[in-house]
Amino acid sequence: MSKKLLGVIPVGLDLASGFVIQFTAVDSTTGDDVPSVTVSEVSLLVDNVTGGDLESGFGDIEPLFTPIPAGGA
Amino acid sequence: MADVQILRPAASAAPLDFTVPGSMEIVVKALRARFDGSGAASQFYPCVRVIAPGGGIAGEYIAETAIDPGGSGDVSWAPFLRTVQPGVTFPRNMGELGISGSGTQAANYTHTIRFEDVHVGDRVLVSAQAPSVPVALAAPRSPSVCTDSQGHSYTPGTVHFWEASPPNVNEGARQRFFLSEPIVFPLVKDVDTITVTWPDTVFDRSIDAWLIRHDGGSPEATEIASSPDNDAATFTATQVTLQSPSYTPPRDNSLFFATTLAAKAGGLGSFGGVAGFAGYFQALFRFFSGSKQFYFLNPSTYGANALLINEFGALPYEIDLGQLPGGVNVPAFNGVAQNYSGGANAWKGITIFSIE
Repeated sequence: MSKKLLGVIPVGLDLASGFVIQFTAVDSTTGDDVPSVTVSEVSLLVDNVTGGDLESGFGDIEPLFTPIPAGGA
Repeated sequence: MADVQILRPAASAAPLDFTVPGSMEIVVKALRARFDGSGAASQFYPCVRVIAPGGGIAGEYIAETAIDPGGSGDVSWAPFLRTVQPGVTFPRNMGELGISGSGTQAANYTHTIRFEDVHVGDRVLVSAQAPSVPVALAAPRSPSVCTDSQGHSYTPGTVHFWEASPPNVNEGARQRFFLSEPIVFPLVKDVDTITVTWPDTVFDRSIDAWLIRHDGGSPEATEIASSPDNDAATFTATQVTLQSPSYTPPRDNSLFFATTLAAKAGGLGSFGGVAGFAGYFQALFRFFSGSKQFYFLNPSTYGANALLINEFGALPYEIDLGQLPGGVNVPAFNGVAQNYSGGANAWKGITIFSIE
């Protein structure tokens, strides 16, 4: 069973080309990255300011990365 | 342009990077991911790290709660999300639940909780009072049983006899405190009720109640002093006073809590302090105007940060945050006192609790 957790990000986190959003896990004591944690079902809800194709952002193959309207697939 | 959702359902070992593609710009509205720690050897926090093109870390946004080794979590990041309050906690020890009463003659009275909800683990301290003899030749009656609309049990304290001996008809009052068991089913303000029953009918039944909460759980209220029963000298005087006793709170964040009850037909005039008695702080006053007498039931505290909560459109109420350290004796001192301009020939009494 998965816990439901919350985190806070700034309002208007405006990122230009080359910025990386990294999903990671940090040790609760040391703050170091924790190995052996798996990330899945990632979703980014973004305002695509410039328009265009964001598909290559994860750097892997196309079927795993599908931009859809925020209102639904 | 409308917001778009970018999905990547497949599992990957953390860290997983999304790089804003060339010549593009995005404004992040919300992020979500599932973190599976079944292979993790230590507790961890899910984290979103923003890395600038040069490789520098621009920000790290860490989830508010950790995931234990072997656990997993669905994490949402967005502006303004916060379930854990920052800064200090709010370890109130006392919180008012209101006062009300009825001047009619009946054998019970029901008070609807006001101001704030009572949470699981809190206790409720109830003060119930009424003149003990409603009509000539009637046997004196004391508040006897207390319960609430969620069925919690309440332990009765000793009865305080702020009246003549034997009591006169509808003169003075008998006051009794009841302490609830730790609350199991929350009590909701303006919905749930507290009912006190007398063995037979009386006039001017009133109830004043407070919740007791301690950050460390197991809140307690211990009566540590009271002014004398049936005290004719206090009756004739305009004032009532009581030494705060020597007492050592057993735990941190305790406070002393006193009530001063005064009853008189036609009212007591105005009230004030008594020279030489200081230390107990009275933030506000409470009263009940019955059909037989007027009653002041004024709370005061020692060793507390007293806060008045002024909710919009509602009466102010008081909460108190205990500050007394555990294991440190508080020597006796001239503590609680109240003088009334019309206090002569009024029954008065003070009770002091240690709220722990």
